[in-house]
Amino acid sequence: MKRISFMLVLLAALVLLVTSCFKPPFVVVTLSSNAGSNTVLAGTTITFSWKFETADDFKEVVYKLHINDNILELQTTEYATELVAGNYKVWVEALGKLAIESGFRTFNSNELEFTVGSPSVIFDNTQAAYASKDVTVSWKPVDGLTHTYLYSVDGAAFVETDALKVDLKNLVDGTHFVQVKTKEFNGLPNKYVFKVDTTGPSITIFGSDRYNGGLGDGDFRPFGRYLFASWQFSEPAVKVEIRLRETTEEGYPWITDDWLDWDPTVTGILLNDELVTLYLTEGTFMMPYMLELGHTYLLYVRAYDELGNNKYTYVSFKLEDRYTGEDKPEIFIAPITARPATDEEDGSLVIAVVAPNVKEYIDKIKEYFAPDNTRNGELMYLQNSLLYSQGLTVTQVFFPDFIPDKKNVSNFVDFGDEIVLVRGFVNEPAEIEEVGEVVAFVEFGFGPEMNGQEVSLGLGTDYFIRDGANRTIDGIVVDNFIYGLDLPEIVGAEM
Amino acid sequence: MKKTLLVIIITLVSIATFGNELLQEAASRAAEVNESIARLNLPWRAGVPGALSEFAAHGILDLDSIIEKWHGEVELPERMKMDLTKSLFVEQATTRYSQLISALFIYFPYGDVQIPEGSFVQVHTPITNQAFHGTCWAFATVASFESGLLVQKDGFAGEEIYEPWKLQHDTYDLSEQFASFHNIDWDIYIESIYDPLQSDVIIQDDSSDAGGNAIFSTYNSVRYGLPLESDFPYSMFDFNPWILWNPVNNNWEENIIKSTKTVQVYYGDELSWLGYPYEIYNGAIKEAMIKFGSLAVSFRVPADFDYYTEGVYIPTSTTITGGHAVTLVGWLDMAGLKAAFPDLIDPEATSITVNDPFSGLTWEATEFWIIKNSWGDWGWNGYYVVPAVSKQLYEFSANNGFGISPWMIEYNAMYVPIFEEAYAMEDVDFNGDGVVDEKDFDILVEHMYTGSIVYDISIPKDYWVDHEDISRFLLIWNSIID
Repeated sequence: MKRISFMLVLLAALVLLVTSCFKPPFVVVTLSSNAGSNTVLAGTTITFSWKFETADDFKEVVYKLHINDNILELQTTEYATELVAGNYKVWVEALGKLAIESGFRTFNSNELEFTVGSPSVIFDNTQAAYASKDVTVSWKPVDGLTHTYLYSVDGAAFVETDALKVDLKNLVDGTHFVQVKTKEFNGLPNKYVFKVDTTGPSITIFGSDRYNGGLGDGDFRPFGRYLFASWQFSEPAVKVEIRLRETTEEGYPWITDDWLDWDPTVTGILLNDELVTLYLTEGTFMMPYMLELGHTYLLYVRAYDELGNNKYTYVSFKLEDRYTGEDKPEIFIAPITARPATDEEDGSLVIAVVAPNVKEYIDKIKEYFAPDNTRNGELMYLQNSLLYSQGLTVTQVFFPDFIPDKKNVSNFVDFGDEIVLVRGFVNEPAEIEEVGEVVAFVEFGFGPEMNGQEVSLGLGTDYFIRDGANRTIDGIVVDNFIYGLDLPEIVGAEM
Repeated sequence: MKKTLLVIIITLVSIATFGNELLQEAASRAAEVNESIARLNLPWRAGVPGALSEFAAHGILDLDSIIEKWHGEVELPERMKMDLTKSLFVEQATTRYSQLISALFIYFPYGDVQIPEGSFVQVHTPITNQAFHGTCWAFATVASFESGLLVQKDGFAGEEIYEPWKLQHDTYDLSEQFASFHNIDWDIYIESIYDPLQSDVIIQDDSSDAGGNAIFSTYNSVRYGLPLESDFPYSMFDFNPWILWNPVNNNWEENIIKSTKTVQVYYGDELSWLGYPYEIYNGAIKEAMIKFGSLAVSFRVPADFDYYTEGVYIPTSTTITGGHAVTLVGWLDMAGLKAAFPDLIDPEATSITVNDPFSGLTWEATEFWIIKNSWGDWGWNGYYVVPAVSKQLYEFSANNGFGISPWMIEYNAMYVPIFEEAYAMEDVDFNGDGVVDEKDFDILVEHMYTGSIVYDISIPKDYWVDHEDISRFLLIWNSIID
């Protein structure tokens, strides 16, 4: 019995000895970070630190910091790093060697899980403006992670969505903005500003108007043969078109078949009954006699903005003068005959200075056209000069009777390149009944070397039209264009 | 009734209060000008224009808006080269500007009048007030027209005095409203310059209150004439951006007076560049004034000009605030200047030194233009005095291409109307056969474009035979027959 008791005591002592010599060390490895939460803004420096706590005697401890699959071997208990966006698991593997042992024991820390990411998004939309009331705004997260998003339209309350877009419907014209951020991350939202523009430029047309719109028969009534119509747009126009139509009792026929593609840099048009310059994108064009005096027209202007929106407007206008298009008093030149030069005889070119409607215009008892006093006396003096090319020689000048029942006197002065034609009308009884519209016939001679050559002819700007009081008679149109004219060539008889 | 009275009182008090602010603003600016005048030792004084009270009474309290209206003369986009240098426009679609200049007569001195050596004032009509419209050009034109009638039709003559108001005559009072109504359409005018198919400038009427230029209004004096002021009264404060058509007499056209043509004294600086002597240019101005009447002139307006009250105006700075058309009614020599402004001019002075801030030149002035303004109670009893270009400065301009500055009236052309019916008929029986007939006509045409005293029958005379002489011959021939 005593022996059994002894054996039991010995066994207990042995157990105590063995357990005291071979018990495993007690170690606690605690990992922490300064992140503060499990969502960390990309770009933030995170400091991981850990504690190796034990009552045992370790002669050496090293660490392996596991950041997902990346392992960093460290001697220290702290590590700072800046992580790219992503989901992370981090723990520390501590390797400790007890003083009494030669091998390392492994002790794992607690595991930290967190996400490194961003509140920011990148908008897919690149347009600054839309010609539609419905706009889809889409985006991508800058961190490439999956998020829930918060968006706000035009400053309204933020709305939560898992989608990467928002469809905006029925937006009004104007400037709008969408703000988006990821829900998980605290930060400023990204903002996409855009304009909705579904209407073309508003157009205002300005023009000459003697009564500032006070008359009822046309928006612009300048009481003259000219109207300068200019336009302004409410926004920049990248394309401008114009079109003209007439107003008649039968309807409104178009003068220009289609819209004309107007040069957007030219903001006006000088309208008249003679020559209208069209500044089109394809070039500058001359439109003679496109409009007539006394007729009412509509000028349309259409403008496109950079989004393709367009709008048009029109004004009516009326060109008029103290005469109509039919009885307009004019002075111009007209070629009458031309004969080539031969070896025996000089060539001949006869030019007429023609003045249709001039007598009638001056003689007419003027009704008041516009509120002006435009009455003139009778025609007393008419002087025009005819400019002509070198190579031509004045050979004869003939002045037909021009004013009936008056003494018609006339003469000329020839300068070799300009002939001044002088006509006077005196109140002396004269048996002149048959009169025409020609002020003068001027015959030029030229040599054979001029056959087929182009010569230039035109009325000069020094002209004088005076009434009986020696006062300028206003309103007669003198054509001062210089015209090119081909002299005739001798045509051989075909055998 | 009480309520109405209250409204009236409140309105009057408001105008008085704010009107006072207008005058205070003007006084403040005038004080600044006076400081500059004192610093530069200039012979003139600035002050508050009396006419401003009238603006304030009409509720116009913005000084700058008044100044904008005052300076309503529009400078031509480019100076027109006329007969003198031949037209620049050789390819023209229609006849517009050419027709206008066909009524102009560029004047050079003829030597048929004695030019006073001292001061001189031509007869003219009383000071007017363009008020709240940019119509100075029309007022200058009408003032010259009225003076022309006094001189050419009625035979009044100027005198060698220094106080211009002593030669005011109220015989004629013609309508500035009518003249203003016939402004030029500036849009068409300017566009026609640049339109390749309209290379002659288009002259078309417009009634906008947009400033103007006497070259056009003098032409209108030929083709439309001018009615009486009583038939077309001037509307001073209607606040419209255009000029009203407001005849108050249905028979207004019966009282129309037309000029025949317009004498133009050409741009002084250009004449100097072209080599015309100073005596020719200065003589042209003085002769034209003596023979035909006061001249419509114009200049660019320095900012301090509005506050002029007396003395010889010389700008204190180079800030230009617009253009202005006025009427040249006479000149002062040094004696006249001292008599006119004894408090400002040193009695021992033999000249006035002009330090021109525009050109940077310093020159001595011994003659001074007396100019009638159209701002009512303003300046030197409605007038102002400015240095006339001296021979020294004119010749400097001729040699250097600058010197005559925009604030001088010599910078622009000058205009005065001609009333040809006021002149005696010349003897045009050139061949002495006792009759005027086509033989005399042919003789005259044979001498066309030559210098001649015998065949120079134009009004005015110019020693030159041209269209003016031929047409004058026909007028005389017709008068003999009639």
